[in-house]
Amino acid sequence: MSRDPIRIMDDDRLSAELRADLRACAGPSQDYDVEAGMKRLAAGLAAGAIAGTAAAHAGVTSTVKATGLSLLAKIVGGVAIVGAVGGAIYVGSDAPAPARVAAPSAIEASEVEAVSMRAVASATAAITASAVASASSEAPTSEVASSEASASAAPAHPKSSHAIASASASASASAESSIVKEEIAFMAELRQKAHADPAAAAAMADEGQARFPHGLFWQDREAIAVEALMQRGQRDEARRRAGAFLVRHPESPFAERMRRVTGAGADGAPP
Amino acid sequence: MKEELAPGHEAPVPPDRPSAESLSAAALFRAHAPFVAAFVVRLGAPRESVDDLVQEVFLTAHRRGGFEPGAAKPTTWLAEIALRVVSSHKRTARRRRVVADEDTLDRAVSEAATPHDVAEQRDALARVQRALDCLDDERRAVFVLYELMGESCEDIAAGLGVPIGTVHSRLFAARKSFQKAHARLSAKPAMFSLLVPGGSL
Repeated sequence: MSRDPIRIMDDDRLSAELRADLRACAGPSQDYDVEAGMKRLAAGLAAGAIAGTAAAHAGVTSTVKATGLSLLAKIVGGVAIVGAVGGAIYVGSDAPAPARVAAPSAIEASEVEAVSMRAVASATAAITASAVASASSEAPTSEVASSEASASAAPAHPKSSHAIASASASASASAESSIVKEEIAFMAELRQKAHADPAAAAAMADEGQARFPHGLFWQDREAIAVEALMQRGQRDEARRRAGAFLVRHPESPFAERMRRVTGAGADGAPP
Repeated sequence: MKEELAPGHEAPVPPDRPSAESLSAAALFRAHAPFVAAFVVRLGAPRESVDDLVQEVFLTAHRRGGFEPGAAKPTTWLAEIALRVVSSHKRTARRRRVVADEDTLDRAVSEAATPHDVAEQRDALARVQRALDCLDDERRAVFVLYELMGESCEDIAAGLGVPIGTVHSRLFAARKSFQKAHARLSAKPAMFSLLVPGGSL
């Protein structure tokens, strides 16, 4: 255990102005638009899997650069860079394609719905990335992408093993992106149902856990299920599930919500 | 360890699930995006890049497999990613850090304050930001995390993956430079009124 020094803003031996200035700048951003950021992230994650596919399939570095396509293109470009790295992982590794490389994670379903158009647009743009890359009509490639993906990219002389690995990665990522899109749509519907019909939402959340056993939306679904169960009066069941969740994930951002909704203790124990 | 569930009840998390302990990207974002946004601003990211950088931090976090509870807190774990992202951005973008931050300062000022308070707060933000600009990124990160974000040295060490002695030495050096720069800036208050745009907040 270390002894931390007293913070400047708490040290009354130091100048009041210095301390006041630091106090004015302390803490998280008060005006960061989390909701807008969530939408962008959702679009980025949804597009990421497909962008990775496109880059791997083309066997070139990411070329979806943000040229005149504003924010959306920036997202796709950024994700495509990561996707290219993901492609490198696929190509360079003998291990089975890691499930998490191209998988998006949980997104609030209501937000998913809001961004669905953007996500689809991003996906479409990303899918065309391979064609763009092959044509090289807009050659400028991100510095980061070219440096990071150069290890895997073999545009001029693709070796057969690389081509096979690339195709395999492409197919894997493509299938995964399809599941992802399906799960995103499912979550959008579930979120709507959670507001309108708690009984149906609880059943649907359970269906989602079974239908997407390896999806990354499960925390969201479990939170919805617990709330729905509480709303429809199945308190014991809700608390039991919340307790199980809290044992597994005491630090989840959903944990506090679970505790509040069910009245569970800090350790997930019933009140 | 497998969890026993009542018969007939679907397991919320498959036992073979590799990411069972990770936080979802959305949950992580919702909980910590404001922290990351403030952190990248304090690291000197220009206003027009803050949103993009925040996105990049969380996409990188996701690509790393998400946050796993362990030695580091989510905040300091994200801070390590943010430090890399911002440092890389600075190197490649060659932004003008000082002038580019004016809009960020405007945006960071509380809307609820009186005009006088707003002016004072904006000056405070400007002074801090400029004093921070005197630090290199590594010292700056430690200083910001400790002095502004309230993290402990131990958590910073765990998040950044450096010995706690390194955190202490960086903090010590950063404090010295920061206080010196701040004192110099405080002695020239007129400088800030000239730098701050006269437009609405």
